[in-house]
Amino acid sequence: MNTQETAAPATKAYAAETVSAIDTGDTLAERKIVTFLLGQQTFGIEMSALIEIREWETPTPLPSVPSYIKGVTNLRGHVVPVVGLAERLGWEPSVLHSRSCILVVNIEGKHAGFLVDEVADIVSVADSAIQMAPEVEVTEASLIKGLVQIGQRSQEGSSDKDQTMVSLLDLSKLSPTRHIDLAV
Amino acid sequence: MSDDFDDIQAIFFEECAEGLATAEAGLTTMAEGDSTAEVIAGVFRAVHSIKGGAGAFGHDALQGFSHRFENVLDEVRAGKIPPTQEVCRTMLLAFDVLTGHVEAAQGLADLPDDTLMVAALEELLAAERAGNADAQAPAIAAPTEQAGGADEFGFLPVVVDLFDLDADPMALGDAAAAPGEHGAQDDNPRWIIRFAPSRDAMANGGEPLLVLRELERVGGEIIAVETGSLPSLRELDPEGAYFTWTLTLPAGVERSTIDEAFDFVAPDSVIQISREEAPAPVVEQVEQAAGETAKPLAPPTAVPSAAKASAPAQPAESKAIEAQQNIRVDVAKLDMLLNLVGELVIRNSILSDRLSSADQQRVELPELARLTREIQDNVMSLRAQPIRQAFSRVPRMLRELCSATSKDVALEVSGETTEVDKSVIEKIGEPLTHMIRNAIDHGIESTEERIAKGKPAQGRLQLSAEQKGARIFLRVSDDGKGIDRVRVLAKAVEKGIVGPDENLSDEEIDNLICAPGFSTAETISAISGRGVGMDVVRSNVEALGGRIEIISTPGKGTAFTMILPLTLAILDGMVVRLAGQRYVLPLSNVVETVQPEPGQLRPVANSSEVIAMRGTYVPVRRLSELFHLPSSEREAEDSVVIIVETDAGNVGLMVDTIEDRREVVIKSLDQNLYPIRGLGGATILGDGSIALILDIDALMVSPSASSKFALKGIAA
Repeated sequence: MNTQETAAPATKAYAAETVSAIDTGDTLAERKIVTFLLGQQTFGIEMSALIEIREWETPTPLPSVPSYIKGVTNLRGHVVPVVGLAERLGWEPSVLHSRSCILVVNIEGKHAGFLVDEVADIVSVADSAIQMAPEVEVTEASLIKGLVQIGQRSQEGSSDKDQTMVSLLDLSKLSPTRHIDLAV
Repeated sequence: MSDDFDDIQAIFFEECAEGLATAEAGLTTMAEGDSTAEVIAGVFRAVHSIKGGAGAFGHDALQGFSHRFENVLDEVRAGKIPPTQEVCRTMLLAFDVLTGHVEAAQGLADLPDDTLMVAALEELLAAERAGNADAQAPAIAAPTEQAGGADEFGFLPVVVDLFDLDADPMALGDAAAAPGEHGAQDDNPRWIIRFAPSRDAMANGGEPLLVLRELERVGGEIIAVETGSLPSLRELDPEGAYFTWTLTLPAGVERSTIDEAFDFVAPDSVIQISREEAPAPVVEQVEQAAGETAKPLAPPTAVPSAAKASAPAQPAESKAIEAQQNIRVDVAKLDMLLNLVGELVIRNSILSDRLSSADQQRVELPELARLTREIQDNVMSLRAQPIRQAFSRVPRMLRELCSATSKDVALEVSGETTEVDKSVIEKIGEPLTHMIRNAIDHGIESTEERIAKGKPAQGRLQLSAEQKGARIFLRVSDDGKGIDRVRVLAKAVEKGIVGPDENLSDEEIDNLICAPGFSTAETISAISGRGVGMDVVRSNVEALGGRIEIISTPGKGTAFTMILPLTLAILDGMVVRLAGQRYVLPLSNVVETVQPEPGQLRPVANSSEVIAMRGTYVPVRRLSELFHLPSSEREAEDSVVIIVETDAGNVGLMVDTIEDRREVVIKSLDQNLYPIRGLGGATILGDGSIALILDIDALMVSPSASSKFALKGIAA
């Protein structure tokens, strides 16, 4: 229980630093995005939806649920489902390793945890820099809300010119209660 | 409008709701032929209170209508209008209009069109007056209607502006000007009343002036004022009441009218009522408001401080001793308290887990556990409410449905005092509505059809609530035609809910009506048949951790039973372990536990086993199979079989070990996920890990049939 609570403040400090670096002289509408890795690809979710980042801990498995629902875990007295994001997106299940973690998010008032391979960064991007996801053939077309290019932060902190494409996820479509909402 | 005003108005509406419930219950009793004076008086008081409050808050339409309704009720109470079936029916209809008016005043609905109803009420009054044309004047107790004009008694009623707090008290003089004409035909002597309000009457809201005005309104006249107890100016408490009044009242005034005037006086007031010429005047101490359950709303003529009088601080002498003291509490605060207590319970068991077993035995910990449990029980009981609240709107709904479908249906209600958690009451309203609509629309036949079938012309709808163990059984049953299985199956196949070749049992077909998107109504009526009905019922009930049972007999009727957990929060459970996971079984389901001896467990067919128990065989299910878990390598002899009680009889449930018995706080899965069949929720154990709570009945009841369309439901 204690580990995740120390993780969150650290992330916040990180965020503040990133923002101040980018904010200078720019007043355009911006949003903060948490980026993370799944396999080789970088994804992002809105920072405002994030409740906390916690270490992987095997959740309590549930009977008769889709395989991407890994189970439920105790989040400060609440029973929260944990979703294997890779499987939810139709990929091979993530292989657990030391940097695997759970992003706990608030989706329209419901809490859910998503298993990701590694949290990468917190960046601010201008709304105008977000591009609509092109119509590509995927199993569920609209899970990706948009695409954005960000400069990659290298470990040495040098001004790297490498650009990374981040796929912004539409959390409301990933909610584990989603298919029930549709059925009713 | 100030917040204060809104707050007081909110209290008024709550009281309206209570008043409407009382009135409806009373009217229904009357319609059934039980028109005792007490019942009639109860209805009268309820409508009277609504009228008074409506006036105080400026809801003129509501006030106007309730006033007319009250007039009729008053005549019924006085025995002038006999409470025949016909009259009762009219009054029930009037009640519906009144409900509409209350809703309109709350801004929940448009103003109902009451012209027809008003006409019907006036007709009742007119018929009564015509019938008594040569009899004496109508009861004096009847509230005067024609404000401003001389009425048949020859006195001028006081025009009281409901908001004019400065109404000139001298105007009362006119009202009392001609009391002598009253009761001229009566041989009884005049009333003599001595009234000494208690010193703190005004502080308690028992304004003596209101009483005097009320008495003067019915012809009272002050003949003496004793000022002997008036202290010197220095000691005078400006809010104290020091005077004693003696009044005379015309002989024709009824005793009950006088008593009514004293309904709201402060305790410790001295009231003596006697007849003038009685040889030795029988001095009676009136027991104020004894047996009076009326809401403390002053009659409208006494309204200058009706708002004040309607404040809850209105202790009448006898009530102050017997009645409970109530306060209104925001439900959100109760919910918060309940959550905190839940956390406290969990922390308590965490603490207990951390201590060594020697420390656990010390007196402090059991004591703490006991206190925690008591707090928990008390908080739970705060939220328990009689299910009557959910049933209360059924009679009205039924009348509307009957008139819309031209069917004649009688309602029988039982078990309405069963107490359940408030959240259950809130959430069963909609399922209940759907089930009743279904019963009337699809179940009960038209009168002609019933007669042709040799059934009683009047249909019957039974609504019952019953508590069995930790569960509530809520049943809606009708004596209609039952579920038409041929049509249901055909429709389900047509809609693709089941395949054309599936072989379904009767029970499975009946359950199809709960499948999403199913509706058999050939014509979509306004009442039901929008294809969401029973589907919504099922999901609502499952969201409550309950389930639905349907029993239908063709030609005889259908019974829908909602089986709900008694409380949504606390469960006495047995913690068991299976394949490394812990599960909680509700203790209410557990009959006994068995450690199977070699040979006691016998295979019957490929996948089923039985256990021999004192000469009988009980079917055994392995929990690992029910949950499709990797089958444990454990020998049956190393496992434990828990005999559980289900609706389908006793079943043995095989698990690895039994760990503990404890109370757990139920956390619903649908808060962040969705309900899962077979699970009643989850709980957080002492070490912070999660254990799933089993719903034994759902787990055992024909898992094949339920999974068939549970999956369909999700796919839809």
